[in-house]
Amino acid sequence: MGIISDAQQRQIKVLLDNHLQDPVEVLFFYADPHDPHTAAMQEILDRLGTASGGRLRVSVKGGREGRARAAAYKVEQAPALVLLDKDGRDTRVRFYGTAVGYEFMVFLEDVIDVSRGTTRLSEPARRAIRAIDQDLVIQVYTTPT
Amino acid sequence: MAAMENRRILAYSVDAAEFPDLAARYGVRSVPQTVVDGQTQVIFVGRQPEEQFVAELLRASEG
Repeated sequence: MGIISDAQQRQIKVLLDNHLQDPVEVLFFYADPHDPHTAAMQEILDRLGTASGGRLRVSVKGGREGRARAAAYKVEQAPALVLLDKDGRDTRVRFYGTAVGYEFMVFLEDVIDVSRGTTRLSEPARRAIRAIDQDLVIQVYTTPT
Repeated sequence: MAAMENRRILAYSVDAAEFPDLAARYGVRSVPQTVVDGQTQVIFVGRQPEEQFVAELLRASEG
């Protein structure tokens, strides 16, 4: 059995069918094509792409071109994922590591938010965040379990 | 999510086990741990209610 079982893929398909609206592009940056993390991430993204009926588009970036693109997106680690909206605009949401376990659920929620062009924040929280006029970098450290 | 609301915010979700050097740099001992770098650095552990999370962002942005 792979990282995502057939039963899990069916559940994910239902979730995506119910919640995805517009297409989302995922940029997948890897450093070493032979790293098991690269293969694992590729498998997860392939499964998600299939479950989404093509609404989740995956672009795989490695090598010199990948490094140049990664730098443009301020991605300094690999494997890494960057989410782009339907117009190819950077959502400024990144994932470092193989998105499994807890991180996988957060990733799915963010894909759905990007697809719907909204977040699950309350209106007061949105207003407060939109009013921030300084650059902020948020890093959330998690583990797969 | 905050990054989607304001283009001055950049958000990273980092697997601490896969990037131990990064985690060590910020003294991550338990997860989730959030590090917010702005005018000042704010670090907190655990999932925060939305209101508290926004307050931490504002604290980091105001210095």
